[in-house]
Amino acid sequence: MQRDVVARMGWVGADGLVLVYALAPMLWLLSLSLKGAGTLGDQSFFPRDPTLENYRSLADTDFVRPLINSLGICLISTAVALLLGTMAAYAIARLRFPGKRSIIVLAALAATFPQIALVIPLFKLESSLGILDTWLGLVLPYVTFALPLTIYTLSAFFNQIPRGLERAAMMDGATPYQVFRKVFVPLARPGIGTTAILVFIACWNDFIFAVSLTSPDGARTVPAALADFTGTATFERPTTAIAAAAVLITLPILAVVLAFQRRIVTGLTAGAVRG
Amino acid sequence: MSASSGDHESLRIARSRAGARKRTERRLGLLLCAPAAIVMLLVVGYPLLYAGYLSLFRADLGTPEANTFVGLRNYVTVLGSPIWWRAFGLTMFVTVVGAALEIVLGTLLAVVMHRTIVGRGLVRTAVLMPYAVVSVVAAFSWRFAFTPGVGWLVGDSAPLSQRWPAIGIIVLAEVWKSVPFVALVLMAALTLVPQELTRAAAIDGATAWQRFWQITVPLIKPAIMLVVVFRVLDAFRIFDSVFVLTGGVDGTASVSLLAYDNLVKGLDLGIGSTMAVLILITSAVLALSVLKLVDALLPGSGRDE
Amino acid sequence: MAEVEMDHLVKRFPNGRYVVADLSLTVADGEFVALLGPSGSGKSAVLEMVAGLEDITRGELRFDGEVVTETPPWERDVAVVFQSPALYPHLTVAQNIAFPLRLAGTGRTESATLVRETADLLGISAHLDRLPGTLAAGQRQRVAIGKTLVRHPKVLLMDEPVANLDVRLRGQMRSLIGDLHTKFCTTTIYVTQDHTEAMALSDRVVVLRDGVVQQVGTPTELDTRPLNLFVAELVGDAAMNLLPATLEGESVVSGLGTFALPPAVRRASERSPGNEVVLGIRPGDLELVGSDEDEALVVSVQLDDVVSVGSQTTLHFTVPNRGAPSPRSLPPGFSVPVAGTAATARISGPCSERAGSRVRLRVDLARLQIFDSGSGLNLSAPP
Repeated sequence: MQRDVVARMGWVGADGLVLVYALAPMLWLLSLSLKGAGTLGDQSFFPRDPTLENYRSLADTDFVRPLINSLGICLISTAVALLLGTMAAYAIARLRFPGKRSIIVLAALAATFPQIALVIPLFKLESSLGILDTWLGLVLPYVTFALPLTIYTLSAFFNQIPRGLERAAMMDGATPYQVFRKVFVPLARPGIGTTAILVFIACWNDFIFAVSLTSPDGARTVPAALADFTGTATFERPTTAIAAAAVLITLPILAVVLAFQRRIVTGLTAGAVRG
Repeated sequence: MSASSGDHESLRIARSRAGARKRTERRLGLLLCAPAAIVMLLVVGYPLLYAGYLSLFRADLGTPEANTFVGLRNYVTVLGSPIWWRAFGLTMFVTVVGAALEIVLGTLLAVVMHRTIVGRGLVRTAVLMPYAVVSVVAAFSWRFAFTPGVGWLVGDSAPLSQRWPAIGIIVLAEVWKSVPFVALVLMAALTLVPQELTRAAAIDGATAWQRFWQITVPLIKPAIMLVVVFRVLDAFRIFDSVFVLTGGVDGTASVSLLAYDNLVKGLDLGIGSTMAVLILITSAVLALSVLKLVDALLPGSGRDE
Repeated sequence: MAEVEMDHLVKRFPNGRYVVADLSLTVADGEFVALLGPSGSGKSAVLEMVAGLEDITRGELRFDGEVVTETPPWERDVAVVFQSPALYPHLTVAQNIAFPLRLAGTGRTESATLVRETADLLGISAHLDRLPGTLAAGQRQRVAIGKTLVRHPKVLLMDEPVANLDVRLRGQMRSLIGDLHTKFCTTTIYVTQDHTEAMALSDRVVVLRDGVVQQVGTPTELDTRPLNLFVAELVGDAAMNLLPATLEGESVVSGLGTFALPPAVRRASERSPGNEVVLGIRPGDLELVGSDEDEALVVSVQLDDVVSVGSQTTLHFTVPNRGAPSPRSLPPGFSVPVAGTAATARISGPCSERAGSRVRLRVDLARLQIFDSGSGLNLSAPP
């Protein structure tokens, strides 16, 4: 009994540490965003006189366009990556064909590729193609970097579907394509949903392509916009404004994480552990 | 035809014949992979070759008419530059120290998440925050936390404007964001370790550490190797947090940031491309040596099955 | 429905192993043929070749005279019931049954009608809206059968469809399969390891061993005239008693006694070089007789055990190894225990005898089987 209580207290302590670790930086930003000009310099972790003034002033800044850019670019990239990635993942998980290994290697290379090595030639190429600073200009690299993630995660999901189902479907008269389209895609729907979340988070996160391939008045996305954020008043230090904007763009992600916690964990680890 | 040649013939057929089913399957496999493969090849492969090509030219966007073939002169310039080597050293430092801390803390966190008897769901959800939060947002949080007169983690000193404290904060930001990913992958691997094994070893008198090192670690070694390689390569391309925390001043630039500066500020595509190629080569070398190193350091064979 | 012709089918693995060696078999339109053999005998490979799931290494496969050797499975119009029912876990029972119709482009209303009729026939109408995961094993297999029924395929293949069910369900499902065949007369090839299934259901049985056909015949033919020891061992309600014996003149001498040879065996034995044989007696061909009868065909044995299962009683006894051949001369797989050979007799009805008592058994001479101990060939069957 005694030992049980001690063990419990030990775990409560450990859990508490983990919670502080995981949440403190975000709570600090939240606290900053609620501080007024008067309390900004108090260096206190908690706001003493919380105000929503910073959020109100965000409305006057040009923060809406990057938000739309981010949403649009990430949604398109996620959709394209999932469309192409689902097809490739199924082929890799369930079909026998020559060149499968090369595709797996290609995906592994793309996944670990230093983005900066791509930024410079991509910058030149996109400017000569006239798609620099456009949605398409970001969708291209986003899809490319999302594809390996999609392929690895989804082929782990496809692998979990019992063997022999494709044989049964063929004997029901399904061609290999129909086996994919009418049996496996519907079956993998939860996995596809999970992968979509992961891919969206990854795109939403990108900074290096956004800051290199877009301009503040063009297709700039939220993370890049945040970095060149100056606030409304020129001489006001933008700290609180940035904090407010940062909290604002974190909220949707927080909602997604809370809603799909279990599935994100499964998806995140599926490719690594079973693949 | 003699019996043995018939035998031989049927064996040849058995090895080579692909029935209608196999042929269709092959065709479908290639067809389904083609779009993804083409996109990856075009967007990664083509610019890569282009970078290799550009690195042999003086390609200054400011003076496009003066672009000429310079051979390996860009490489000589970059490799002879102390700025490059300082960035390279810093990036390697962040990579090695960061990845090492991430693996150790990640393993600890994985064990806590795997074994805790209270609030397991809460812990697992909370841990997703660092992973999901936009890295620029997180970097701002650290920057403000260490901004003199504002931050809760400093007094009036300005650690971000001193080289080594700034590097420490860069490592902190990197580690904070990546530990959960490491921990989640390792936790998932841990749940696949059959409990009977560790229990049997406990009965045989193995200490907790022996059980962990000699049974659990070899079993989750493939996952560890994967996560280490992935983390090392990801840490090596560090960019976002350096950009936000210090902007790369005072000798805190990473190689990615340096290459970026050459593009955006210097508009020098030739030098930028040269750095891109060098970064890529280092990446490949890192991947291979990390695989070897981890395989040698940890007990158990590297390949499962 | 169609006639299936397998013309010198060969299946080899790339490692060179023969899975099926030169199989020729014609299954008539509407016929029910069982492929019987132990695991690894190649019966499933035959089925997969007919289904199109495996390549045919050599030979030709024809449905109604049309060559389908190279036709992909989805164009063959062949349906398969697998050992473990492969249902689509995300579709309801009704959607599962309708799936082949959906692929074939059958209209919604027509398909709904067909599904309802099929479900009625199989007794699963109450479960049409459930997901396969919530069904019991027997019900799942019914759904799998339903999937094949709705399409009226040219050929129906069944790969040990009842093997995964418990004994009670197995009987039910077996009679259901029999009834459905009577009703629809679909050309059926049924793969099984269980001879009772094969005997109960089929018009003809094909016995396979290591990819080679041992015998093709009606259940009665297999039972009364097994062509060799392998078939004799595999087929029959109870394992055949196999006793080492020798041929001496016009009689066969075994531990159980000396019996006169039937004329056919006498002729065959003249052709056969050795005189060491295996004497086969089905347990059902031994009859319990009273002590007053005393003829050459009656033998006396001491019972080791008496096992009664309702209407049938099995008497266990040991036959001493008198006049037995040396173990070396027996076909592979047969060994002679030192104490003698365990044997059984099966009699109908209850039995008052107990273990330890001596009883007298009459041997049905006409049904004795005599196998050459070298080749295992049945000497008493017509060549």
